[in-house]
Amino acid sequence: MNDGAPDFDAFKQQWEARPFLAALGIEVERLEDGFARLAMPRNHITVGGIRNSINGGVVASFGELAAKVALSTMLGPGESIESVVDVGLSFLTSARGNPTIAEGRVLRKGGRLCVCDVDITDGEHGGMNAKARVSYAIKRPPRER
Amino acid sequence: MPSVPDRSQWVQATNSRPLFVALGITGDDVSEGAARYRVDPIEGDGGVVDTLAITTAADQCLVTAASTLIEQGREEMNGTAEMNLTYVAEPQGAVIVEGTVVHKGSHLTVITVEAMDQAGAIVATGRGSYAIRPLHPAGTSGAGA
Repeated sequence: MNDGAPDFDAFKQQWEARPFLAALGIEVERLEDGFARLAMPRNHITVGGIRNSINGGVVASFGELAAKVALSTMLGPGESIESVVDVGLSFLTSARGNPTIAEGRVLRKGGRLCVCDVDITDGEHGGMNAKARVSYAIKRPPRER
Repeated sequence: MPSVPDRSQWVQATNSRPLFVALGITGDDVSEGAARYRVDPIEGDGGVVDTLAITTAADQCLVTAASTLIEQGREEMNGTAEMNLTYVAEPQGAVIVEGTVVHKGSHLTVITVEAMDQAGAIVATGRGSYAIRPLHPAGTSGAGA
């Protein structure tokens, strides 16, 4: 992680306190520079897709979230995530593992845009459920004059 | 024969789903080839709808819009195949997400999705495809998943 970034435990707590993660029971399992691994349980909220799988919309937003957390590990001083720009997913198999895992990786972080790649897999059997590509706009610190 | 649900029953069933309650999503309208959901900010979101909830609602629009054109007794739903969303603005207040079928083939249905905030500004636009498959009569072998 960049200098000045919070330590893992503080960072994990900060993310897991956010309403979306709390509502779905998502845990941040691992953070590295430009990488995040998240776990989502099967429960009465997340299940609702075809063939008793995790709801497809939840899978999509889970991928979006993993990218966001991965990017957050690379923000420099004064930088913040402005907004998501693009989310693209290919659904490969029904997500029926417990948990479902999302691993987000930063492919490139530019000055204003960041592109991430996300693998969503079955945490029990290891099969790939979905592949996502997510890009975020970065807010830069104001220039000093 | 298409399977358009009764609107009031659909709204009631949709709005009791734990996932939608947790994320502030409610069913707004459904008709042949179209579906509309509303997303409200949830507690702790600071009055702004999280894009993660919009992404979830967008997939739900695909599913519901596609489901209204399924021919009962001849076809069945087979899962979202892919989805792409481009976010263009931060939402102000509640967001309406609408999906419209643009093409229904024998194996894929293509749906466009648009999200607008209360001021009528477009928040996100996208497209997805939903897989459908023929329903085989009992005793005959069907296609794989």
